[in-house]
Amino acid sequence: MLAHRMQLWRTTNAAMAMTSAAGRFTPQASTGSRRDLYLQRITRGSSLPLAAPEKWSNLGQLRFASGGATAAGVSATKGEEFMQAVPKTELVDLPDIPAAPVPPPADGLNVMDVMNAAGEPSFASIGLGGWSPVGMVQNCLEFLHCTWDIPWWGTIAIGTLAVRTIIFPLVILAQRNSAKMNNNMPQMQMLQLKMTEARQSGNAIESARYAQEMMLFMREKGVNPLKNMVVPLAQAPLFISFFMGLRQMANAPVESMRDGGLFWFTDLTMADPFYLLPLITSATLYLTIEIGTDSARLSAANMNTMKYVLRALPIVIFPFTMNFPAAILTYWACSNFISLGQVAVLRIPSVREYFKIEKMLTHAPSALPPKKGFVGGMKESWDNMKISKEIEERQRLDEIRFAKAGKGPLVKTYKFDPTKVAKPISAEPHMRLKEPPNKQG
Amino acid sequence: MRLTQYLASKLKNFSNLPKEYIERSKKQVYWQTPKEINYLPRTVERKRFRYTTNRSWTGQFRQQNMPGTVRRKVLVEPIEDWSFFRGDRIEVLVGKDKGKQGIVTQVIPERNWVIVEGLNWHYRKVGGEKEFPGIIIKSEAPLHVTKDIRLVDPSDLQGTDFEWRFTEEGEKVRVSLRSGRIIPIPETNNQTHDYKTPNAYIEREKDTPGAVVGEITFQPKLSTFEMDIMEEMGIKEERTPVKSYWY
Repeated sequence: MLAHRMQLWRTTNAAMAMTSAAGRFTPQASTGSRRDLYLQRITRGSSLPLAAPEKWSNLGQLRFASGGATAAGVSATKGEEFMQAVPKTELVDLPDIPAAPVPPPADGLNVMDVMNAAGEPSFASIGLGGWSPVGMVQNCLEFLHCTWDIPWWGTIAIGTLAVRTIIFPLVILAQRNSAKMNNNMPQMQMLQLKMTEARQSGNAIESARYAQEMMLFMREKGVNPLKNMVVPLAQAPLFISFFMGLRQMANAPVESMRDGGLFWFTDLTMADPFYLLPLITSATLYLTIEIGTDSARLSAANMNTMKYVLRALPIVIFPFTMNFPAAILTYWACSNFISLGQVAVLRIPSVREYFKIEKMLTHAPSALPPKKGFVGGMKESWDNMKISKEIEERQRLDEIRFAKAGKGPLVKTYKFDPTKVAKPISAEPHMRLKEPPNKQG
Repeated sequence: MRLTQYLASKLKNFSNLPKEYIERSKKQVYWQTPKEINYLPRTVERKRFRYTTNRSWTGQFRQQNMPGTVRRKVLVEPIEDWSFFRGDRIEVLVGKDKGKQGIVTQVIPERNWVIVEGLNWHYRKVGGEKEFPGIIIKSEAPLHVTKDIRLVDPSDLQGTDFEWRFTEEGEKVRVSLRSGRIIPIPETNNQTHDYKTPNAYIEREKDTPGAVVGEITFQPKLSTFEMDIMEEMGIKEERTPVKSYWY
């Protein structure tokens, strides 16, 4: 009995120590109250061994009662024997008590597994983490948050900054390529225009020749249109991983994220009640596209329709982002701000020289093909599509018409043109010819 | 004969190139009176040309008809209605490709010839010198339209005679005499040097856009020419005319 009481005392001391540790990390009252609730559960669990002996005692009493009932029909002597047996039963109860101490150490171990360094439930216990890209993102964020006790908004910002820093060399590569492409824009556009004209005229040989010329020109200048796609392609998987990871963290939800926000969006697991974060995200996205991060500006110069699609993107995205958790929008806004910062830094001439990025030339309007408005551009694209389709069909048109003429219904034809009225034949000459013989006769 | 040939050469459509261009490129003017008031308009130029498979606007044609060259006259049968167009399907009646069918790729109406793709070809030796035997080129020889070829009937794909008739809409079409089917004129015939279809033509700087040509700018108005000019120049008439009387 004394050993059992010693075990209980030790468990209580450990729980109290944890309570004090948690208090140091998160002094806020609500978190404290949650910690107390959790500790109370542990206390209840530890009280189980006390209940067991009582139940066992009840079982003993039941036996005694049944024994009495049986004795009623028998002589008094047998009853006395049963009366003497009761003290023996009491003695037998004692050896069962030592089994109780076993559960508390297991509970202690479970507590250590469930808790992490910051005194919060670990991601593994909630169902997050793992070894998928999304899980790795979550593990990294958890590490940042717990190791240095950074609030969640800070963790998201630092994670974004780290990722963008890792991608920076690719940004430099894309910037070099886009600078070269911009400087060689007039020649490339002229070649492209000639290629388009040749294709529309139906001259396949000329079109292929201009395509070859374009390829040689790009190889000579070291320009590659696909290099502009390097940064978006590298950033897309990272963006998707962060997006899904943060969404899962917000949906779980991670308890500390409810207080991990900033300014007016203190709860990162909920959508922004004032819609300011979606607005900031859309505005920064628009600025990013307009200013030309990742050479979007140059691409827009080439493709008119794509430019309008990119400009409409922030407006289209706003209704969707209104319902996103604040954590996702925090990440997205941080990403956009970092992009704008990169652009601003890379515009400094000395920085460009350091990274060996060529200077951007400004071409005279006469050197570039004439620009068309939105409606004009769309109409031209539609016309080009129709013309290409018509030329493609024309190659088989004669054959189709010939076959149709042979298999279709017979068409009625005339020796004379039926749309012109034939003049009636005059009978007078015949009458004149006949008159002289009559006169003579 | 000369009048008929003159009319035929004027009326025929040459490979869809502008007629003025063909005339200008073929012209050989040896002497011409100055365009002065005291001179009569007289021109001495070449009138007889030898037409071959070299088209009349090419350099080879000029080489074959150099000034001072006199060629024996070639008699050409006048054809009232020209009936063979580029893209037509025809059957060959003579030569080693007798009985085969092909597509017309070139029409030479000055000699009543057509050239069929891949048929009636022979080898020519070009560029031979003392120490070099020359190279052999595969060339397609022309076929005479009245004797060597026939149009193909679209219903049974056999050669057939035909005649020109009118449809109910007044359109002139070629009709097969055997089956009564219309032999359609191919769309390839409408291709020109500038475009394959009129819609696919790409306008240049000096071209007038179609919208500008089709724009209607005349607005009827009851006013004299003098009134129009005054309105255009911003002149306002403020004088009071003198009274005049008719007796």
